[in-house]
Amino acid sequence: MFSFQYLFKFNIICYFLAVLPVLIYSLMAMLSESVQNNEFMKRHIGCLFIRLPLIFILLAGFSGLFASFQPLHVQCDHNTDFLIFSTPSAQDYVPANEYLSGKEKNKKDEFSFPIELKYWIDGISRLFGALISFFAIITAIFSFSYLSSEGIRKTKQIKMHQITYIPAVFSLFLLAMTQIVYLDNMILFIYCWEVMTLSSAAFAYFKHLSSTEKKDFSSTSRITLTSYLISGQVSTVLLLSGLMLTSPDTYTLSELFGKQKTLSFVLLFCGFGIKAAMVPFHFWLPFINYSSPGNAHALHSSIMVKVGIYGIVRLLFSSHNGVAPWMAELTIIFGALTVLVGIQYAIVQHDLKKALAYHTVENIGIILIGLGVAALTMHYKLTAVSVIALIAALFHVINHAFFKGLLLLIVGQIEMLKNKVHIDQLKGLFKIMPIASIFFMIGAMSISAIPPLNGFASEWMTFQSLIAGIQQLNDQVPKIILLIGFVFLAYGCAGTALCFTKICGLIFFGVDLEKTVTVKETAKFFFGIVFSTAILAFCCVLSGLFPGGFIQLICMSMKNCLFLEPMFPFLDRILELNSWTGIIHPDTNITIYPIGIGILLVLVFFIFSVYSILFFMKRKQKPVVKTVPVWNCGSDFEINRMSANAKQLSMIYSENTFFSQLKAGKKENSFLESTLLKTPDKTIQEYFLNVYEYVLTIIQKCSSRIGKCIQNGDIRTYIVYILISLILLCGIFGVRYGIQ
Amino acid sequence: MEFSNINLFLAIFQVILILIIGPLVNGLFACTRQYLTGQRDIGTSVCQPWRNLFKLFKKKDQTSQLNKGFAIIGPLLSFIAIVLAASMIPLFTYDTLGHLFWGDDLFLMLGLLLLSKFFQSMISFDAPACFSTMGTGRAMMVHSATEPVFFLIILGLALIAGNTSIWTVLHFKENLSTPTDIFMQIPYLFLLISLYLNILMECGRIPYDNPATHLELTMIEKGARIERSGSDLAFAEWGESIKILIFMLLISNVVINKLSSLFQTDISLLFNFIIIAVIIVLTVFVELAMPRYRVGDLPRQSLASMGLALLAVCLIIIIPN
Repeated sequence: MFSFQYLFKFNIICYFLAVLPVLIYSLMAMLSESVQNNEFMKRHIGCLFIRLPLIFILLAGFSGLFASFQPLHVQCDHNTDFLIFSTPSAQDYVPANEYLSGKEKNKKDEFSFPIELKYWIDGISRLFGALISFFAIITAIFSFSYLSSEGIRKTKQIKMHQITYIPAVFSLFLLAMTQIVYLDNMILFIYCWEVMTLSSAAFAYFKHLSSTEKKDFSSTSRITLTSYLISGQVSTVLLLSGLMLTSPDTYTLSELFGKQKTLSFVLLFCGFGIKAAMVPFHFWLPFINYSSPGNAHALHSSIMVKVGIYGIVRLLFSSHNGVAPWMAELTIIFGALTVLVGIQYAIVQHDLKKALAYHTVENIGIILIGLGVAALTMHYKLTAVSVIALIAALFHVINHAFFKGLLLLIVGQIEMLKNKVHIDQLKGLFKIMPIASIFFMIGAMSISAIPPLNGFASEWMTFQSLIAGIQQLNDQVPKIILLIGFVFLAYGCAGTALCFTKICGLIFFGVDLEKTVTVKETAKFFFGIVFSTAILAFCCVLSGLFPGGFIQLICMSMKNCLFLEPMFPFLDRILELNSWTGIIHPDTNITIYPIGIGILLVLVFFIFSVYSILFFMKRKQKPVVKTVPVWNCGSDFEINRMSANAKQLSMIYSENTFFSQLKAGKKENSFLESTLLKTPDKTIQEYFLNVYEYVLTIIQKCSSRIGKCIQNGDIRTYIVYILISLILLCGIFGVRYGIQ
Repeated sequence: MEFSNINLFLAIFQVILILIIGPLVNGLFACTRQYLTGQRDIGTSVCQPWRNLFKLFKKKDQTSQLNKGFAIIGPLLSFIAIVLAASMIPLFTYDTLGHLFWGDDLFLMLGLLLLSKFFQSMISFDAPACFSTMGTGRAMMVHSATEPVFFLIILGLALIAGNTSIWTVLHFKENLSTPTDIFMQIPYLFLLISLYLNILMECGRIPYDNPATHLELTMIEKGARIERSGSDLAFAEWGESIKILIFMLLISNVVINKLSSLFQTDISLLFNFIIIAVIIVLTVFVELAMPRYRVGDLPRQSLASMGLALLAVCLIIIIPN
């Protein structure tokens, strides 16, 4: 009854149904202008046009999540079904493969239409599909409170009917991402890729709505949109050209990804890398994160970049022989560069949303390093190490989605309450939102790789796979490349702890002197927001304490992927261990997370929190501890002016590292700087934007010169062009059809 | 993994001994320093840090009006994280509590120390006075400079042993029979020097930070806990001294491992005490010989240990076994 097909179709239908209400609303608004001022509409707009689509998204998320765990019955007749499910997998039913081979025979004889709704269902796509559906549920729950709350409208002065477009765009965005990870047809894949870019770009309009100055749209929002759309466009072009270069015979992705040559690999890698926010294509992520509403930037940063990672996973692991070593080495080097640049800009960035976006860039680097190690060791037949590295990378994909989603949803809540996200402007949030700040600290400890939370588990596995790779490889060059990956990974780990200590310390503690938030607003309990962030915080702790369960899930999904066949014996041995806690990998002698310490720490933490609650209750009755004011160096200044601010805390770091020298030689009043860099914090300069700007000016100069050369305004030149083209055409046709 | 009641008893006793010896190390530093500078008539005892700790524990706590409760559970939690890290390092027996129960991994040990550091800095930000926040920022900066070096050292140690578990690293015996084999151990010498420099930086000894200073503008670790008093301060000081001992034990255990594979015998772990004493004397000599670096220079100075560790790891990778 609840097989994959039915749930999957239900998922698609629900996403489409979520778009319908806003279409109806806009049609009504077009037909009569009085709809917006109608009293009935005003009263029910929140219920009808915001909550109803969210319910559909919730249903779609649940069906997608259940679908990814359901078996696939391929033998259902394809004639009556408009969706074609193919499974190049050993685990599912055999008729699928027979069906595929039979189809290939037919294809040569007759013309096949390139666009067909064909799906590639195996473990990897199920894993990513489950992640996307899970986040559909989480963000839908969050949006119930976020979009209909008073806070978003009061502080941002937005009318209710102005945000009716958000759920519709949301569902289109999620639909496109779900389809991308399951689709097998090239044309539809590219089509969905475009839909994903366009629908998520619509979120950037939100900043324009909320900004008090309408002038703002001319600079930040417009440039955000432009840079995002251009990067999306370039990514699509690269993907299309790469896929078309690979093979002219077929349109199915499962065959195309396996046949990569040099040029097509580079094109596809860059195309997926742009969406995965890989350096040097990462510049769009902080801008789009800055401009999006609180529920959407979590999707951008934690899920959409993972779709790019999905492409890179497919690219590296879609042939039985494995990829060439230089492809894996390229992945590791780009990963190392991504970690370095991401962490450097994250430390000096004091805007909360942008800093978290740069941390996303850094974590993408960690995932890329893991994938690269897996591909490299697979080529050198060190499959035991390769298994660990791939599990680590996929585990970090899941973990990063958990903690980054958690952090960004809470940042969305902060933005909703305070309407500002600069670190120095936020103080003493612990008093306003104690639950959210505890959740934020859990997320911060996860991302800083502090045991016993999940970031530590996956980063540790990446480190272990790097060590095992360096130890067991025989060639010198890949060893050195793995060492480069190791050094930058260590650098990134250390920097993250610094950055999140700064963020947590500055925004949650201290004294909030401003009274912008009314007591009534803060005392209100946002059920949806608290529930969704609580689920994510629970997931962070759970996958940190019991990584074995998640690792087994990943192992099972990897066993469902036919191209990972050399790994199957090793995966079997991990699955046989059947341990939810600590695992010692039998083949490589790698300990996968001994967990006793985590449970011990949680016990200790629990005991002490109970103790401290008791202590507080006692303290309220009679003061045991003497309280004194904070020593302010004997001055009368307010405490916030005397304590450190964000720039001070990261200044020592940014001024004394070699990377800051790169930013020194900048030109003044250049084109991109005057537009793109007009952010609240003008001190932060993007080095890579200067590079792009340099390329841009060169292209402009060249094109204007060539244009002047070709179109010089003289009619005699044009006549020569016509003559030359005629002669060329005659020559081509002559050669083609034979001059007899 | 053989398990018996005696092993368990010894392992627990080992952790307790590390907790007791920790402050004594600081006392030994002070005594040696006085002996070497000729101030023998002052007569500071080795047990002076313990007396200070007792005095602090007896004192009544003073907390800031601004704190949100983090200052109450924070100090103990960060101290417990350090104790858990201490339960993984051998002092006189290899069967540590970590090895017997909850895993003894070098990465895990560093992670626990980071956990304690995270709690410490949260406590400092809890009552945001000027010098405590500044000191915390500096301490985290120092930490972010030292942690990559620790990771590289772990890599160097694990490359030969095949595992990052402390038990495996310390039990791996090489065959050092020919002079060439001994010559191949030079990278490990670099690694140990780099580890030593890194420990001086992380624990705030003199070329990088002066633990005896009372000028707030130049403090690093001390500055971070300038606002604390009573038992909170005592836990922080105690934890700090245990941290130095843990790192020293790491050095001395590796040295014992190398020496025992050189002489083809099992050298007793009791040599740890002698090696720690040697390290303390060496550190005091360094402290007497060198001036303190400026705070702004620290990231650049950390490149020395980073480069040394990188060189050592590159040599280990390139030299075929």
